[in-house]
Amino acid sequence: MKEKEVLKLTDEEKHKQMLKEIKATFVLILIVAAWHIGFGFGLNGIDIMILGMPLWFFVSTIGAFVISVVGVIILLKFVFVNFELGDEMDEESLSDIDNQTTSGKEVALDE
Amino acid sequence: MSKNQIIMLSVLVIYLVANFVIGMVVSKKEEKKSSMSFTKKYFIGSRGMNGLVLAMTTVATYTSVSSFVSGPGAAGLTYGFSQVWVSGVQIGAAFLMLGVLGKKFAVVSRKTGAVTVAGYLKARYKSDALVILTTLLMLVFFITQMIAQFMGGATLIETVTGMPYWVSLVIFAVVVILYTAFGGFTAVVITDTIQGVIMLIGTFLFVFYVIRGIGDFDTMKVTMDATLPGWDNLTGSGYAPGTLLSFWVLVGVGVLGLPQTAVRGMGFKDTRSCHRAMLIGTIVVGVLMIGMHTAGVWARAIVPEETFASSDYFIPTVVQKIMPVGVAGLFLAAPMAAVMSTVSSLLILASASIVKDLWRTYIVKDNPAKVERFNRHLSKTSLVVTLLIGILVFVLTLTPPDIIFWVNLFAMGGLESCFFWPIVGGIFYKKGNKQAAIASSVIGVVTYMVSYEFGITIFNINSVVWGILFGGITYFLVGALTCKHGLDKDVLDTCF
Repeated sequence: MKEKEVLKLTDEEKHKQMLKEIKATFVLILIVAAWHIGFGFGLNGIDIMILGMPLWFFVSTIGAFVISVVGVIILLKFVFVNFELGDEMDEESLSDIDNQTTSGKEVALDE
Repeated sequence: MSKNQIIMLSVLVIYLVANFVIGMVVSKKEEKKSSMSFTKKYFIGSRGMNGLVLAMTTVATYTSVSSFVSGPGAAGLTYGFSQVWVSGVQIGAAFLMLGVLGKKFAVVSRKTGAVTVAGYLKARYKSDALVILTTLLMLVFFITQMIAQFMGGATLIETVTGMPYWVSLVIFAVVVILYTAFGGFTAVVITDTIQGVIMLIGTFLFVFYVIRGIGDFDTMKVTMDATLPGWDNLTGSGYAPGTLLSFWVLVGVGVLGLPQTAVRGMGFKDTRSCHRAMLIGTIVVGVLMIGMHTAGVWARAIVPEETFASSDYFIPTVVQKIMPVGVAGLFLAAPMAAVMSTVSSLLILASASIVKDLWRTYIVKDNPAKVERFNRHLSKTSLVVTLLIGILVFVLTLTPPDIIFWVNLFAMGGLESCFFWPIVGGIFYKKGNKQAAIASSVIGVVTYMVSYEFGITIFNINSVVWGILFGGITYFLVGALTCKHGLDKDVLDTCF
C-alpha cells in the first residue's frame, strides 16, 4: 500500500486534520447509503437476474461494496494523512507499582 | 454419538484448543515486550495492534452469530434477498468507525491514559454521573449480548454434535472465558484475527458448496419462486420500507455508538494501521456479509421442502447436507469464531469498565493506602472480575429465551441510543457539555425502550431511530441551553 510519510503535527494541526478526515468519511458513507437505498428501492421489481441475484440487489449492494472499497482507497490517498499519535500519558504510573504480569509476579520498573 | 458427530466435535475441540494456546502464547510474549502499565497491557494490549489485527478484530467483534447462522437462516427461510440487502448495510461500518472515531480516540486516549470508552467520556465531559450511568447501562447490554451469543453457539454445537445444550455451552464458554481472563486484550484481538480468517474460509466454503448444490441459477430461481414468494423482492418478503431504512441506522451509522467497536480506536499503534484496517475491514465485511447471506438464500433451493423449528437451525442443517463431514466441521468453526470473538471483546471491556472505571475511580478513589493495595492486587482483581462476569453470563445462558437475532439487536439498539451522541456529538459540538451528554443518554435509552416495549411503530421504523433521534435533539438542545461559558479549557485542549 502506498506509504505516506509520518508527519509531526502540533495538537491543533492534528485535530484540524482529523476533523477533515471525519467529514470526508461522513461524505463517503452518505454516498454509499444513497446508492444502496436508491438503487435498492429504485430497481426493485424489475425481473432481471445477474448471476443468481436480482438486478436491484446486484446494483445496490454489490455496487455499494465496490463504491465503499474504491471510496476508502480515494480517501486514504487524498484526504487521510499519517501523523504521530502522541506519547502515552500514564496517569497512574506516577505513584503506583502496577507493572505486573497476570501471573502476579512483579516486574522491575523501567522508568 | 454417530461417527459424523464425533468428527465434528473433534474438529471443533481442536479449533478451540488452538485458539486458547495461540491466544495465551502471544499475549504472554507481548506482555514481556511491553513496558506499559498492567492496565494498558491487560485492557488495551499496550496499544499495539497493526492494520491486519485491527481490521480483523473490528470485523470479528462486530459480526456475531447473527452473521453466520441467524441472518443467512432468515434469508433462506423468510426474507430472501431483502435480508442480504440488510446485511450489506454493514459494509460501511468498518471504515465509518475507524474514519470517524479511530484517530480521535487514539490521540485523546494517549493523552489521558484512557483504556475504555468511559475513560474517553470522563476526559471529554468530566462527569462522574455520566461515567457511572453509561458504564452500568453498558454492562447490562453487554451481558444481554453475551448471553445471546452463548445461546447461539451452544444451540449450534448441540444441533451439530447431538450433545445436550449445557454440555455444548460448557465446551466453548470455558475456553473463551479462560483465554480472555488470563490473556487479556491481546489474547482477545489475536484470537479475533484467527477467527476473522476462519470466518472468511467458512464463507468461501459455504458459497462453494451451495453453488455446487443448487446446480444452476435458473433451476434455483424456479425452486425459489415456488418455495418463498417475494424472495427476490426488496419489499415483497416481509420487511416494510420503514424497517429497511431503519437498518441503515441500527447496523449502519449507529455503529458509532457501540463501545465495543469504538474502543478499538484506542488500541492501534499508528495511523498507518488505522488506514490499512479501514481498507481490509471493508473488504472482509463485504465478502462475509454478501457471501454468507446470498448463499443462504440460494441454499433454500437445496432443501425446499424441509421445515425448521426456527431459522437458526437452517444453516447447520444445510451445511451438514452439502459438505463432507470434516469440511462441515471446519465450516462450523466459523460461527463459533463469530461467537467467541464477540464475547471475548465484550467480556474484556466489561471487566475494564468495572475494574478501572468504576472500582478504581469511585471505590478506591485517592486514598493512598487503598490505591496502593489496589495496584498490588490489580492483576488478580482484573482476572477474577473477568472470570466472574463470564461465569454470570454462563449461568444466565443455561435457561435461555428465544431467537438470538432479535435479542442481540435489542441490546445493540440500547447501546447505540445511549452512547451515540455523547461520542459523536462530543467530537463536533463545542457546547456539548456533561448535562447534554447525560440528558442525551437517558432520553435516548428511555425513548428506545418505551418505543420497543410498547411497539410504537410508525411506518415500521425501528425503535433505535427514535432513540437516536430524540437523543440527538436532547444533546444539542441541552447543550445550547446550559453551556453558557463554553467547555473547560483542558477539555478543549485534549479533545478538540
